[in-house]
Parts: sequence; structure tokens; C-alpha cells
Amino acid sequence: MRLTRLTYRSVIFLAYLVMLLPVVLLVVTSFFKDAIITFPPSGLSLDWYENAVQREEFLTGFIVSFKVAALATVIGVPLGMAAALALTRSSIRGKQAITTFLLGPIIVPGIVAGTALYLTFLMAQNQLDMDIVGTLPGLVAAHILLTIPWTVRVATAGLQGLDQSVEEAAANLGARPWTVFIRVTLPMMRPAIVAASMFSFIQSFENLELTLLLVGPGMSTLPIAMLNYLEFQIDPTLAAVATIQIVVIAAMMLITDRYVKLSRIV
Amino acid sequence: MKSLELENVCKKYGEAVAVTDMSMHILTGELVSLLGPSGCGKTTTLRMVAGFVEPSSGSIRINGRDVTKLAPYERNTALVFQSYALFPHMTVAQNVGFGLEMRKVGKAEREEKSFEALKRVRLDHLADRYPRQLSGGQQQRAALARGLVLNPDIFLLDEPLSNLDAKLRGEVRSEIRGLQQSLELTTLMVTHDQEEALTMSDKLVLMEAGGVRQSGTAQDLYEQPADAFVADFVGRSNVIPGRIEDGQFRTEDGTSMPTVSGSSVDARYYTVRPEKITLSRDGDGVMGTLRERLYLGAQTEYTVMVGNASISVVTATPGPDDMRASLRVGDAVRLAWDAASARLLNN
Repeated sequence: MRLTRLTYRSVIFLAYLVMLLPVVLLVVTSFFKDAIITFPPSGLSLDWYENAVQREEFLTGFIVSFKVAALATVIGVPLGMAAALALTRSSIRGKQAITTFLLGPIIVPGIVAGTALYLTFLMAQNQLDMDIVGTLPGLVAAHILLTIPWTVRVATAGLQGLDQSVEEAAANLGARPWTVFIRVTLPMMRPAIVAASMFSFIQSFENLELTLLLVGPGMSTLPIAMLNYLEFQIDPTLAAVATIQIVVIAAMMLITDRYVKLSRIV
Repeated sequence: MKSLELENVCKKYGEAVAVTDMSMHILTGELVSLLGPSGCGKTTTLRMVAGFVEPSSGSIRINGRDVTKLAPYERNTALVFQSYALFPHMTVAQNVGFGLEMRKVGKAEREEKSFEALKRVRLDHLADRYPRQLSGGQQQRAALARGLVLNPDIFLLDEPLSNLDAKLRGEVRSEIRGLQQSLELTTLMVTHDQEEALTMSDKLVLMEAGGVRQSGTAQDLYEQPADAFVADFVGRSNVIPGRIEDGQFRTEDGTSMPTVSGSSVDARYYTVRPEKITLSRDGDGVMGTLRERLYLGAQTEYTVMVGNASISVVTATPGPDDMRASLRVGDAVRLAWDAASARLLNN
């Protein structure tokens, strides 16, 4: 009995170790003094953080990524929620086909979707005589292709568990359809909306493959700025940037968790 | 005066018939139960009254006004859902006040009325809790209060006791019936539990396969079942197939059963309630073999084979001196009952 419990605990411990070790190492190395990572380090410093904050490409990258992720979430989540609601509630034909279609952008490899978008944008640019590649609207449009499928995927599961008789109860008590939606359906969808928004934001914020061909001068996202930096240097600046990212995302999750328990929706 | 009338109501889903030619009439203060096995159309009927399902034909009138085509929010019915369907993001008081808010009742009056309704179901001390913080029984009382507060024309109950444990069920049963009678609520209740229907209702409507098999008071259905289905569904009954020969009912293997003279010659089923039969070791009556004995505490249930027919007998558990106390499975026994307590049915 005691042995099996011990084995069980060791397996859990090992699983966490494997998952968290790279993250821990990353955070630790960001404080190392040496430009080439050596162990043990010759000393500790915050120089790499200073470098990360001072280099313009990271700051711009962070701001662009944040803007793109926020806009793509604000536009994509309501659209995805509406689709998820229709897919779980109505009796339209070909639901399975529509679901697959909506999930398409995250099923297709990112680099393939990115190339397809790049070519489409180029053609549209010629037709419309305006810039799309390398602009904020272009990036947002591309990232909506990430936020819609993630919303559909996260929200469909959440909405299936939603008791429809609660909405019927509201109608029975005298509420008209629009009032039912605003006063009952929407509040009950809140956990699904929060979960979908968070996933969408993070997916957009950290996306590399889909975005690779669509960035332009002064309009590059953080992951791409990091990739570019890595081509020429391997000092711990990237570890510092990544640590800042981890802190920002962890803070977002903690704040979200105060309003909607994440353990209930993921 | 409040009333609910259904006239030749039908509901078809494509070829499938959910409810066919349903007519009934409920008067002020009456509680009528729709009773039947699952899939018999009772819930569809309830949902048609509430307005969630539109009848294919026929009409529904509440207080004499035709509501057949009206949306749920245009009818003054209060439906208590089987799952209670409380609004999870609102407190108990907000739940109860919701209907009044929809009716544009001012805040002060709303709060006063909600409090009154909650007091009626002894939940006023939990007004500020959220539904998930309440027990199943308390949630149901909150759902009742949410309906009561509107003084509805028709009160609708969907399987009100099915989500409660056995002990609470009896308590809630009398509580609902008490409220219904003291407030003279005109009520339509749906249940598959015959005991629930028998004890709570003024009138019962027994449904099967979308149609009404029999309606009447509990006594009507129990004492004078119209057919073998009713006899078997309401209370328990031994239903034995056979036919009349020379004025005597004979089972399929020829055993003759006590028969009142002048019985219908078309009779195909012989029914007798388990509690009407006396079982003895060696007295008068039909001969049989004891196949099973179930001790239920105050009562004992015997299963006796009479020819090919299996007959249930329920008696008070015999004391230690009683001859029946020493009966073993396989023993020969005699069954006797008054021919008048049996009923012969044509179908």
C-alpha cells in the first residue's frame, strides 16, 4: 500500500519536474552574469533585463503583440461565441462540417496558413491598391483566424453544460427573448467567455508561424523580434524577455482567476 | 375564477405522435396530475400549456382566453422545473423578484412581495444566498416561491419530487399540497410516480402513448380501472389473461377464478389487487405453490404460482404463532378472495 502511494507521488513529482524544469532554468539563467551561459556562473546581475528593456525591438514587439492580441480577441471572441452558441443550440444542418470549418485555421499547420494568407494579402494589395502586409489591420485580421477557432473550441464545451431550462424559466417568468439573453444566457456564459478570451489572447500573443511572413518594418510582434535577435546573439537577454512574458501572463491568469475560477473551466 | 382547458390538443413531430386528442379541464384550486410512463406525452402536454411547444392542432384556454399561439412570456403560468432551473448568478431574493421585475413592479414592492413569498416557504433567512449554497430541498422551495410570488393563473409542476431523497419526499409532498390548497392554486402536475399522483391530486389523468387512458379521482382509477394497463399502473394488480366459460373466468391453463355471476362474456383479463387476497395453508380457495416470500417489515409479499399464472399477495407479516409464519418456498397454499373485489376487463 505504502509503496504504491510512494510510486504514485514520485510519478507526479517527475511529471511536474519535466514540465517546470526548463521554465525554472530559463528564469535562473536570466540572472547569470556571463554572456555565454556557463555553470556555475561567475556572478549574478540584472544587466540582461536592462538590455531587454532598452532594446527598441523588444519594446515595440511587446506593444505590437499586445495590440494585435487585444484587438483579435475583442473581435474574434464575440464572433466565435455566437458561432459556438449556434452550434450547441440550433438545429441547423451540417453542424459537424461547420465546426470543422471553423476549427480549420488551427488544424492547418501555422506556416501553411501563414503562407496562404501572405499570398492572399499580396493579391488583395494589388487589387485594392493599399498596404495589408506589415500593417496592424493585416496582423489583426490574420490573428482573428486564431481567436475564432480557439473560442469555438473552448466555448462549445462550456456551453454544452449550460442548462437550457434556466432560460426557459426566465421566459416563463415573463422575460422576452432579448431580455433572457442579456439577463440570463450571457451571465451564465461568463466563464466560457473569460476562458475563451484568455486562450485567444495567449494564442495570438505567442504566435510565431502564422505571423512570420505578415510582419513589416516597425510592425513586428514580440516572438518574431525574439527570433530575429536569436539569429545573431545567444546571450541571456532572451531569457530575460521570456521571464517578463511569463510574469505578465501569470499575472493575467491570477487576475482572471479572481473573477472566474480557472480550475472550473479548463 | 381560474381555469385551464385543453380541447383536442395534438402534437406531432413529423410522423411521430407525441400527444393525441388531449382534452381536459381544470377548475380553480384543483390539482390535476398527468400520470404515465416516460414517453407518454405528459411532459409535452405541460410544455404546451407553458408555451414552449406549439400544438399541431387543438386549443388551450387559460381563464377562458385562447392562449394556443401565445409565447411563454405572454402567459401568466408559473412552471417549477424538475431541475428547479434557478438563476445561478442571482441570489435567492433576486431569483424570486425576477418575475415581478419583468412585470415592472417597483423595487420596494418587489422586495416586500419576494420576502413574503420566501417566508411562505420558510426560506426568508436564506434570501441573500446563491442557489449553489442551498440544499436540494431548499432550492426547490426557492423555485416554488419564484412561481408563487406572481400569483399565476396556472401553476405547473414538472416531476416536483424526483430530485429529492426518499425521506424528504414525503415532507415536501405534504408541503406542496398544503401550499396549493391554502392558496387555492390551480395546478397541473406531471409525474411518473403513481404514489405521488394518488396522494397529491384531486384528479388524475393517466396517459399512455400520447393518449388519455383514463381520468378521474384516485379512487376511480384504483377501484374501477378501465383496462388492464390502468389496473397495472395505478397501484399494483395481478392481471391474469383468460376467458369466460360457463359464467366462470378460466385462466389460460383452465384454472377457474371466483367470478361474480353475470360478468361480461367478452372479458379477457382478470384483475385482483394483492392486498385483497388471503393466503392460508389449508383453507378454501384456489390452489397454488409458494414460489417466493419477501419480508418487507410490517408486510410480507408472497408470490404464488396458480397453474401458469403468477399471483402476488400482500399481507400483514404473520406473528410467530401464525400457521403462515412457517411456510417454505415450494409449499402448497390456498388463495381466497371475494369475487366482488376482482374486476374483469375486456382489454
